[in-house]
Amino acid sequence: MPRIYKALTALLAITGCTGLFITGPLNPVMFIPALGLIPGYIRVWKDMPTAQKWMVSSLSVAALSLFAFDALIMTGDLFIAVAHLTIVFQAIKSFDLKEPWDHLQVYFMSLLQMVIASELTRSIVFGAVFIVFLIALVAAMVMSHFLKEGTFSRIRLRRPLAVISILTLLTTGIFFISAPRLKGGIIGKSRMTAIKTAGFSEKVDFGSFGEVKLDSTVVLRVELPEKTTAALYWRGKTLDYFDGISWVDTLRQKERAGKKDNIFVVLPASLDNAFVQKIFIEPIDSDVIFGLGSIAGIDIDLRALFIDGSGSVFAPEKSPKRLAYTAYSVFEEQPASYIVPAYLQFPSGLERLQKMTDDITKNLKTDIEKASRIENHLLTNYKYSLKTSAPPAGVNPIEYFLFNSKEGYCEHYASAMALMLRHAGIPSRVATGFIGGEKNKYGDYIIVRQSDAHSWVEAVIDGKWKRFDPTPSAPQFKMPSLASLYLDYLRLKWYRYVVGFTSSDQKNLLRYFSMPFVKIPKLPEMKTEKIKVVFYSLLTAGGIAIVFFLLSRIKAKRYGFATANYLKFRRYLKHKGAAITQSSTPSDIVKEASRLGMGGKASDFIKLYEMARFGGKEMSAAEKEKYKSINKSG
Amino acid sequence: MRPTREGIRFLIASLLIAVAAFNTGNNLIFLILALMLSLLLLSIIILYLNLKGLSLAVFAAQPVFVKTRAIFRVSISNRKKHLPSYSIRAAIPVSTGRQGAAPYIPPASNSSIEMENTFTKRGLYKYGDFTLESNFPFSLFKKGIRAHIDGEVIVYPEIKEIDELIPELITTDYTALTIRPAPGDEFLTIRDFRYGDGMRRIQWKTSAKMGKLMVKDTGTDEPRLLTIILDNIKPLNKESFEKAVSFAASAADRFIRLGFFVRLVTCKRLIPFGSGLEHLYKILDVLAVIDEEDTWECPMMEEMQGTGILILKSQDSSLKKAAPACSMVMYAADL
Repeated sequence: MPRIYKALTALLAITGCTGLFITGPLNPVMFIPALGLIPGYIRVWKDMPTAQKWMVSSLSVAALSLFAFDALIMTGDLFIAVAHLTIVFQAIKSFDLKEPWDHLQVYFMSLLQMVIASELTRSIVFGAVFIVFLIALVAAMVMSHFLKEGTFSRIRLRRPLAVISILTLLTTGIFFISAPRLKGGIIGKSRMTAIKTAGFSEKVDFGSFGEVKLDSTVVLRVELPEKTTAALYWRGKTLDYFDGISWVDTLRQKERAGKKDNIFVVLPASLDNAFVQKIFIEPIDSDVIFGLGSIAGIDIDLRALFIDGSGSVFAPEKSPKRLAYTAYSVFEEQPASYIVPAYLQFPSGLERLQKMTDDITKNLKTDIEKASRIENHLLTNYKYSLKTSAPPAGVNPIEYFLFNSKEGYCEHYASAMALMLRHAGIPSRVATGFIGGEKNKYGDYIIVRQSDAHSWVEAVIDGKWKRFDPTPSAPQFKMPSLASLYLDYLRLKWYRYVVGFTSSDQKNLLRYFSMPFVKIPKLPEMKTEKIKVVFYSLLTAGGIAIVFFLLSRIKAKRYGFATANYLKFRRYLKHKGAAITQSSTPSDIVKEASRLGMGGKASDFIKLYEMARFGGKEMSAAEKEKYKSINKSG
Repeated sequence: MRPTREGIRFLIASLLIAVAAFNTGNNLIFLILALMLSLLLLSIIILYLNLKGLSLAVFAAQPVFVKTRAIFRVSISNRKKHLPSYSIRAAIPVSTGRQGAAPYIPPASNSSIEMENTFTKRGLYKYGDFTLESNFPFSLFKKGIRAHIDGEVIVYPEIKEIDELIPELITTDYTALTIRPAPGDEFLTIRDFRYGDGMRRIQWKTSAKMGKLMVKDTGTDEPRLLTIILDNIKPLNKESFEKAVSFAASAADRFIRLGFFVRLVTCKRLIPFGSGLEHLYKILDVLAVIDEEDTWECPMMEEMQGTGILILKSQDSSLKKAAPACSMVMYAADL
């Protein structure tokens, strides 16, 4: 067997295992059996004999036992256990590669590993592994073909391999783009459950924010088709209730957002002049949808969206996948149509804060004057710091910030201002989200990181919600390198065009390519509910077909080729009205067939059957073909 | 086009991956599905292109005899200007399963392969529909195209060893010529003087050289003649008749190779005396397609010229009357 073919088989086995390891959730112990691939393939390379059959069988049985233990006890996760099992089997198989069929088994196993990996990761590294896998698989399959033909050494493989690999890459791309997509799949959910935490959280308490501000993990990537001079406040949600220690959202009544032209309507505003943002959210521990200013509409590949009274937008559930959507925002202040008492809620025990507020706002008449004075007071008299000490027992953290430490981060400032505004009779709330972000020159988009997490204040001034940010500028953290920015750009493209490719993208592509030639009609939306029925039916039919196929194979194996087909022929004749009983002999069958006008064929058929069954002569390929064809045509 | 065993497994795997992809909506599984589908599609397209523009030319490399390995030279031409063809198998139409393979045929070129076949019955066979088959590039699908070849191949009767059936061939000196000394002028040989030789025939110069009397022989050499009479009057026992035909062909072959002038007489066909390979194939051509006939139409000679072999279908044959004129009478059943 040529060495290049052995090397390709090894490469495919290693690619499959690598694909699994890059996903992360695998048990590191599984590196040990994976290392078994090295001696296994060295033996194959050196044409050393394969392992003893009993040894391979024993190891396989041990692997299956380990799998059961893994699935039930060790990881308790069948999916991960299957991933572990494939690694062990790859290692065992590397010691038992004899026939070309053994190599094909390695390919199928690698394919299974890639499928499992695709459910466990969305990393761009998977893309790189996939391309290696594709080229190696194409090369191995073509070589396998020539090996089977026995012409491997007589063919110059370089050219056909290069052409077929390029064609495979191209057609894979075309199929990927054109395969019909359903929103969120049909009945299953993605297996990927690892949700990253984000600096943003759905409640504000004081403690761990310092770590968050030092975390450079990317949370959002935003493409802005137009330039804007507006401050980049990526608004998430608002919090209305302060219990003396932390802020929480108690106004949980959410409504399902309506849809117009496939866009979820959040505000009754025209989208014609809205500011467009294309946003990609990493999987975070939240169902909040972010956007600049006030989100008026959202184009997102989800079944539903929910909105609350504060203009915050929510996905139906925390998504384990990256979400990609287009947000349409307006920067006008939104009217406070109803003021719930919660926005004036004020906890007891903050007398010093009340007094301070009274002092600051003394002699000021309008709400905007009071709010601006409070904002300015916080901006100028306090220092930004991530290293805040915990307040002594019994001391309110906000009062500790205002009167003792006099330094803190956004949550301290926003909380203090919101409470001071409330004391001054101005309804207010704390808004959470992200601020700013850095521009990546490679892709002309904005990267928003955990460290950009922020809290600010929204207050009702003259019947409209107005934003105030009392937090002084935070010190600049280390700038990312150009290489990391470029890598991030590649990641964005990977998430945007591969991981996050949707049916909307397909429609846009179709429109783009067909625009100069034809006006295409509006494409119908594929309804998951309707497709579910079709899917279930097809799945059931497919399952039944597979069961029948397997049963027939088992029968053929049990009786042997000649007898299985003979029994089939008997059944066929009986179905046609022949008097076939349990005791009918082959000559009876010929007679009955003659009565039905099939004497000639039946005679040939029985002759072949008797020759194979009783004559001890195996049928040649041509005879088998003839035997089967007579049976088929009846 | 039909899937191979690997192809069926690949199709099932693709189906399962398709179910997983549509079920989860995971684009990375769609990516793998796209790879599987592209391999399937390319298998079909490349296979189609691989077999496109191919043509066949077939000829028998040597005369074809029943039960003897026949070699056919098959030339597969690739008429495509730019695309080569890989792994092309050509199959002989008759169901013998015989195949020949051309691993590579360059564009606008051809490749020759040799294919073997063994025929079990004599006769005239049309080349008919050959099959060109391939499963390039991934062995997932197999496709065959029919390539019709005009022309025929004649399959001659089986040539057997007949020395045991005609012991004279072994026991006597069966030279091709019967030399009849005659007063003619044609030089025959120079030999020792024998009693009774005429003085005028002594070659004095040669005798002086040899130191003994040498005589020049003159005469006329007559070729030995053999007539094979094959009884093919209805009704015939098929099996015995085939044996008779094979015997006739074998006798013709054996005697012509010995230098005899051989004649074949059957119901309706008469191949006059002749010698040499060309004449042998004239006889074999007749024997390859000979079948039973209603009546005997050839002139039945009262007096046989040279040796005569009469091959009768049975003891009751109406041709038995010719037996006295023949040196040998064979019965088909005994052959």
